[in-house]
Amino acid sequence: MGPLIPQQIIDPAWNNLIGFLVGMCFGLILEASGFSSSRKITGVFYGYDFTVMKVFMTAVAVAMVGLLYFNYFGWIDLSLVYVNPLFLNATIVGGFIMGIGFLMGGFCPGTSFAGAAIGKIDAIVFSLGMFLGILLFSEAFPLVETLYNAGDYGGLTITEVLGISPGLFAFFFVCAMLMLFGILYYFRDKFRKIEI
Amino acid sequence: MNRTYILMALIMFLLGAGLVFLPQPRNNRELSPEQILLSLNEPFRYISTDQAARRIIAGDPALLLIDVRDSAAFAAFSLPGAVNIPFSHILDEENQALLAEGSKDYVFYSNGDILSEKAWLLCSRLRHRKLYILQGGLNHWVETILRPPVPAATSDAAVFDQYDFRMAARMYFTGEGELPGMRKAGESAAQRSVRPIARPSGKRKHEGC
Amino acid sequence: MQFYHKIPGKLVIAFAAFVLLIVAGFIMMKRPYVSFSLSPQESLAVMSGDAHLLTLADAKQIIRKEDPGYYFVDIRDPYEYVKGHLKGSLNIPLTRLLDKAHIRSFRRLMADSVKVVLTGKDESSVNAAAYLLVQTGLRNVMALEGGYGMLAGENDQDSIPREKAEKAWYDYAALMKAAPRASESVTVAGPAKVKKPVKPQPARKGRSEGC
Repeated sequence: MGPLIPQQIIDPAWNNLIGFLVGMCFGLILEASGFSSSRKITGVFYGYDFTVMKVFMTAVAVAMVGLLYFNYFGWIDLSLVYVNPLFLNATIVGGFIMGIGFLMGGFCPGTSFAGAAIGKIDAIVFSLGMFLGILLFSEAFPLVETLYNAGDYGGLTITEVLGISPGLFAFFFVCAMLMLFGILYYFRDKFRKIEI
Repeated sequence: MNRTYILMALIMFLLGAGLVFLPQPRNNRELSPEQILLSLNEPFRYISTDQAARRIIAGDPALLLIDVRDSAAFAAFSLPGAVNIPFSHILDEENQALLAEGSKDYVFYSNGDILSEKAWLLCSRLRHRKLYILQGGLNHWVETILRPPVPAATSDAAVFDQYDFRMAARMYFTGEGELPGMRKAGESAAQRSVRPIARPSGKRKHEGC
Repeated sequence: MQFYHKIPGKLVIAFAAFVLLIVAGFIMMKRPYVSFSLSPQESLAVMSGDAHLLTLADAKQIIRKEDPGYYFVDIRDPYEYVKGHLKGSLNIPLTRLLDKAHIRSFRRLMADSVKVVLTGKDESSVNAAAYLLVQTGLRNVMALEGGYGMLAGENDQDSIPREKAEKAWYDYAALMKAAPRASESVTVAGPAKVKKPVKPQPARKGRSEGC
């Protein structure tokens, strides 16, 4: 059956509408998990709140296991799913910059919009700053163009690099996630509850 | 509360462990045998030599003839505008990429229609669309276009129209139309034979009524 | 944050839904009875050879000797089959070829190393069907060269079944080169031929005026 758009089961014109609906659900879940608070997000860096890690690891594990089962059932063809190309150098530099911004501002791009939507002033300022950053980047693009295009590895996946089957990798990931959750649960008294 | 979490963790662990033992995901990129069998029964997968000739003459940009014979045979003779993909190379990456574009009607041809049908079968299985077979292949091409049989005098008018077209197409492909002897042989004949190419198909009206 | 506390047990609900979806997938999944067992590359190698083509001469010999190692299957429509068919051949119309029962009996025949020969109007009508079955792993399926009509010595009106359909019957290049010379002979015959089509046209006009 799927993916629906690459197989032209639904028209590519629906792309934006589907993105809009999925984005609304994403925002709802972000807000429901308390991600509209910068203190909750930065908590993972200071070691007093690991909600961010738990939510994202659960999301990754569920998506990974679900997609692999769906692929097996024939509901989706994973070989047709678009894999974002890997630009290693740019990713390292970009990840570093984003980490600093994340820590300083207390939001990531998605959560800043969720925060702005419920009227948090810091989130609104963060969003505006983000657009300023986009503007600066586009103006300075000729300077960073070589870095931007360096280290292109194409649509590489981690299972291709490690040479193991996707199922085995998913199993390892689930095990690691459950162990982490166990550790976090064991030390739950060490973390302080924060009011948002 | 604690027990629910442990139960959920256990189920998640089992689901993850199940993935290890699942067989390698099937390749959904291929059609199933049943789907191909359905299309085998369709006459649309064939393109007749007349249709092909008509489209070549009209310079149809949506037509791509693919010669699946070997390159020596292709070099000796090929239909105008055809590209050569020898059958043994049909699964090569660049040839598959050409077929995957799907922007044209890809017509396989060979000497007969056996080899071209094999190519059709293999490529249809790989989900390529708009694939056709030249019915009868080049042998039939010679028999219908280059050496059309003269219809019997009692034949239907449509058969004669077809014959006229084939004679015109024959001139087009062999270049005989340019021979001075041909012009002299009968101008009316030449005009008559050229006419059917652009002839609209639904022209047959009852003038009298 | 109020939203977060609205639904109690939402994690359990979501998780149960996820597990149910996967269980439903397992229940709903049907393993197809026939699927391709040869990879495209293997199929290409098989198709490039002639191993699955029974030549007409061999076929005639097999029929004369009543060789039990061959089983003839007629894939034409039933009405054509009724009009005339090979003695001892079974009629399975093309569209029914992948039915479970037939595949099962083909597999049984393969286990007994009996070859299944598909016959039809001509070779190109059985060619694709035979190789479709071969690709599903039935290595004992063969296509009959020529066709039923040739085998029986009858002449089918609709098609002219012929041997060696994939051989070049003509020297195409020579034909093209010789074309100008050939044209003379044609032009001599040309007017005579072209006159003929003129005949029915007045007749047609006359008919239309008449009404």
